[in-house]
Amino acid sequence: MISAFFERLGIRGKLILIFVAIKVVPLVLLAGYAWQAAQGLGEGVSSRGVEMADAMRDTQRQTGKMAIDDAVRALDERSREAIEALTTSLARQVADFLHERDADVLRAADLEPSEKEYQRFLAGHQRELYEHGRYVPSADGKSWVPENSPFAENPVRPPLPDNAKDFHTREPENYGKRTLRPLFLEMTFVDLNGMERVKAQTGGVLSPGLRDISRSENTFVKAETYWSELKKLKAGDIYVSEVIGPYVHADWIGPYTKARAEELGRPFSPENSGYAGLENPVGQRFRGIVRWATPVEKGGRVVGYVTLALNHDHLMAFTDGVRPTPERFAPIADPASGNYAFIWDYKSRSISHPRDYFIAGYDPETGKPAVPWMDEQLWAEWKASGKPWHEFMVDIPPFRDPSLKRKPSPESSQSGSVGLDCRYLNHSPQCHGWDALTEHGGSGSFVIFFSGLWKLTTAATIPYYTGQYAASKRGFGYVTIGANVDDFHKAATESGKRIDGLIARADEKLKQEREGLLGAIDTHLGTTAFGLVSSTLVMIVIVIVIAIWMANVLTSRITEMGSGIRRFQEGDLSHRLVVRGQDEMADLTKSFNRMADEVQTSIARLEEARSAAESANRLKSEFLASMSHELRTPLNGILGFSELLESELTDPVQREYAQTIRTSGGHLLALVTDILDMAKIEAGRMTFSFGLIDLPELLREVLNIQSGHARKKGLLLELVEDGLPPSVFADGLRLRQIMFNLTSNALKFTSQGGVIVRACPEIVDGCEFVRIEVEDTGIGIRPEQQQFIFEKFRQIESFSTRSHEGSGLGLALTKQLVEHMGGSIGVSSNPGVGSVFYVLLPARNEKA
Amino acid sequence: MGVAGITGERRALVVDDVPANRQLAAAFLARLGWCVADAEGGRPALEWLGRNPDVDLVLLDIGMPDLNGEDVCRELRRNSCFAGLAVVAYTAHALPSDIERFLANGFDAVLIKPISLQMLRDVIDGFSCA
Repeated sequence: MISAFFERLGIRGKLILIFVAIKVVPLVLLAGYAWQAAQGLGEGVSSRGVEMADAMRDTQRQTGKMAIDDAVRALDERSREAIEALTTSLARQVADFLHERDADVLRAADLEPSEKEYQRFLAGHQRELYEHGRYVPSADGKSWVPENSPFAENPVRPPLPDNAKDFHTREPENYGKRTLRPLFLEMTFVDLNGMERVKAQTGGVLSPGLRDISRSENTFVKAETYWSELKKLKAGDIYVSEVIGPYVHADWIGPYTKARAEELGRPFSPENSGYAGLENPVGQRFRGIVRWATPVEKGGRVVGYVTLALNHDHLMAFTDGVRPTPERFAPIADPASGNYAFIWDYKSRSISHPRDYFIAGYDPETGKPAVPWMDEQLWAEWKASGKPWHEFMVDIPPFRDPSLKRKPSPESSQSGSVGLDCRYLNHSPQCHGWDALTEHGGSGSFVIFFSGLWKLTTAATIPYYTGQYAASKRGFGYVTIGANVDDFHKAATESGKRIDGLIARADEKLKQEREGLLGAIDTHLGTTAFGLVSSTLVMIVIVIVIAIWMANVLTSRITEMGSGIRRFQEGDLSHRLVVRGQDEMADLTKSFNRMADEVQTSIARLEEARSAAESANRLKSEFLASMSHELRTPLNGILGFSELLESELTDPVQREYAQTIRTSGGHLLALVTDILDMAKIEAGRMTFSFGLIDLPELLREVLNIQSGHARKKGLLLELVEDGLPPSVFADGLRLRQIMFNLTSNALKFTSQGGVIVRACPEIVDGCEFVRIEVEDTGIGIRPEQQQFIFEKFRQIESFSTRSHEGSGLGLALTKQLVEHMGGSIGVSSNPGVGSVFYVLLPARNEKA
Repeated sequence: MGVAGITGERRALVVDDVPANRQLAAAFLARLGWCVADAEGGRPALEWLGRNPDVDLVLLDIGMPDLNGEDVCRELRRNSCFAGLAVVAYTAHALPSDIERFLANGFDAVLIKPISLQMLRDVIDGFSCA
């Protein structure tokens, strides 16, 4: 298709096409490549820009996050460290306080047991307690507020410029209202029978009157069992009891406000529910004691025991005001914040808590431990057991599978008896953690997600090992502090939020800049594309113009050459092309001119040769004609006179001589005739007049002529009439001559038998032919000779014998005649048996 | 023929520069009963014919030294005195083109040498029929 189109183009078109193809295709390819490269660059820059911006933002984010995380961690660690230090410090203070009480009781043992002495001792042992004043429900009833705002503003004067950096002041610590309170609620002397003999009291918490404390029901909350321990004491030994006090119940756990009471549908009587710092500042306080005792000697003999009942409020004072926050200390605890301190005894029972109802007290009716707060499972088990708590608890292993997944039993929560006994507080697994931290008397911390907050919780053993506490590695018990972790690193998270904001703003700005950059790249790419396309188009136009011009220059010379060649072809052999320049076209022109020279010479030479040949031919014809003429002239005399002689001589011998002369002359004449015929055929001067010949008549005529000859030789001459084709397309005169030659030959070479002539139609190569055969019973022709008999001047051997005289031209002439009439001739022969000559001639004019 | 009719004898002239050919043609004609004269060239023939215009037949050789047989024939045909004269080319020119030319140039028949008595008889018979 394309090649066909290309071939139809002229040279000029092809040249233009080639030029354009050679120049335009690379141009377009180059332009395409440049465009690709530009686009690739644009895309590369864009994507790299985006990547860089993203990477920068990510780095900023990561840096920010890392800084914040580091800050959080640092703050957390510092806070942890501070809180752990605070915890151990508190524990130490508690232990020191307890040790001081050891000293107190030993000193008390030296006193004369009298009420007066004892009263003086109690009055001499006082310690400050801080009270937070009165609180009233807030106007909205959702919280408690101080009745009187305790503090006035105390503005600090501005610092000097030199001190201005990180100039940080704190208000005076607000511990509340300081009051001196007796350390001990009771001082007694107990005789060797367990009877109180002397008693001095403060505060009115314990019952007055001397009792037999060997019986528990006569002790505080019916829970004291020190008599059995006292008897084991030697002089100087000290007994220290556990914390003992009546359990204060809670109407419900959590803020005790008017709003909350309404919500729960309960009456608002905070005074009847357990105290809980800011959650219920007017509630019932836990009133407990810790009793010290030591033997009293007189004359080296134990005469009784002195006891001191420590007011539990002094223990509570160590933790109630502590806040593990920058606030450090407050006159009232805030249990809802989660930031507070509390104390557990060596059995992991709560002995100091901002919520007094959480302190594990005793049932004053029974003197048995109050029912603690339980999870659903333990509650259900206890209820199912039907036993009183103190009997049921004996069989429950402490810290039984505690987990945050456990939920406090609602019934337990609502029972009002929710003291914390960590051994059975299985929905608070931190108990187990504290227990573990202090297992060997140490301290530590961990973080736990509790009550919806991440809380750092610490525990530090109170290193007090007097009396029964010597048996416990965690001494008197342990102080714990719970702190809201988020508060520690509030500054860092604030910074994080600020950094996030900064990054977001930077990111936004970066995004805008990136879009600006992408827009600029797009614009630039557009300009590049326009420049590329337009310059490519201009170059293509230039190339096409140059191509057309060059094609014109080149082809004008070619067309000029073409017209010159055409002139030469049309016979102007002397025409030569004009040679211009030195290039290949000039070479080609020169070559053509040289060739034209040679052609011209050759044609001249050919012309000469032709005219020479023509004249030679003419000479030959003239010679032949002249020879024929010159031979015929003497033959005329020879033949004519011998004929005359033959007819006039009477002597048979003479007449035979005359006849011989005539016969010989006749042969010569035949030869002359044949030569002339042959010459005529070869010169193309023999004319044929074709037509449909009546074949049977022609054959009969020939045989009729030859019948005399045959008869003379005594031979049979026969025409087979059956199947003779009616006609043949030939020259009648020549066909007659052919048949005459063939029958003459047949008769000539046959001495006995005869000659049979027959003819039949035959199809050769789809054309109708007539086959004419002349069969003799003569000497035959040997196969090796059969191929030569149709050649000129060839006579088979026997021809040269005197009995077969002939010109040697007869068969050759016959063959030429047959072939001139569009036929063919051939022979088949069997030496000694005979020969069959056949002639094939067209049955009709095939051209017509 | 007219002459022969009057004299009862047909008269012929044989023209040939070769004596043998003249003799042979004369002998054949004589054998056929003709009264024969001969001439050895074109000019003598024309002269003789001028004197003897009643000749019936002329056998005229073509290639003769003094006057070509064709010229002689042309001369004779130009002369109305010889309107009835049969002019036969008596020649060894056997090419068909020659024969055609002779016939076209006024010869009535052509006798190609070598002749036989039969050939002569055939030519003369041809005239008789015509």
